[in-house]
Amino acid sequence: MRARDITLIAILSASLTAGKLVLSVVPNIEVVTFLLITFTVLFGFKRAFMTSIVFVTTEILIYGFGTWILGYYIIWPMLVLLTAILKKTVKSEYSYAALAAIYGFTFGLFFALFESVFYGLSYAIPYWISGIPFDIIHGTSNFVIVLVLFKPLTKTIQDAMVKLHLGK
Amino acid sequence: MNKKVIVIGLVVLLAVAAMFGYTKFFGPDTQKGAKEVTVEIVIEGQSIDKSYTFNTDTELLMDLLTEVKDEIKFESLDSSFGPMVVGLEGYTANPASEYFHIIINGADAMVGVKDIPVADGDVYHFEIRNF
Repeated sequence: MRARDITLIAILSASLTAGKLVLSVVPNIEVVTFLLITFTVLFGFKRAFMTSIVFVTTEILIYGFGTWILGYYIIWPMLVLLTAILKKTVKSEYSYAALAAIYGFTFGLFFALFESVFYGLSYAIPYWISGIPFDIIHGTSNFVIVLVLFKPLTKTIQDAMVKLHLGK
Repeated sequence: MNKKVIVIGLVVLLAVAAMFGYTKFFGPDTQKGAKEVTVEIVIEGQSIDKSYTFNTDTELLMDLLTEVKDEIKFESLDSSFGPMVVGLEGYTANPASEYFHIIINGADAMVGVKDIPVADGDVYHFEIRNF
């Protein structure tokens, strides 16, 4: 890994953390999914994967350690992996928006199943059911954010890379 | 752009329908009107074993407890999971080792007091348990 990659990963993960903090006042509306998808498409699996790991580790420094952090170490790198797989077959932003929507809708279910390992199913089922409205907001907002912002952000970053003579 | 606007509109509409469906199927099934319910409070270490009968129009257990707050000396604490019962009959649960366990008509409550509907004839049993 080159110094340029390390710097890029630091900037990308910082933008994820900043994006998350800015929207933390609005329940379940976030740009982390959107940014990770965009970063995977633009910078490739390896760099986006490392970005997701740095981002989750930064979360520990901000919020402290909890079992949810372990879930984050799975869910965000998995999004990068799924985007990288999807990228090989599709080019349309609709597919990425659909992936982001599915991610949002199943976020609560994933964490309920994951946390059931620690706390049992009697905790997981009410946890998931009571969080369904938040999952609906999460999935819907993810879909809208990716559909509206994916193309403009991709183009802006690509233009900036050309202007700054930054190759891939 | 028009296509995107239509697609977004459809997705938002589906989300609203899903929210409506959720409220209908999973929301608390509340009952309006006069209801007679029993509240039992057992705190073994303090030899407290009380039973109250209340007539109420409240729809959720949290509202009932708030309504009869002075009588049962109810105290609650807001947590990320919603309000939590921390004190009854003047006894406050030790946050390090105790909690008020809720049993509704003989079955363990699966949700907190803010999500428990008040139904006619229900028996709400609170007892101190250790964890």
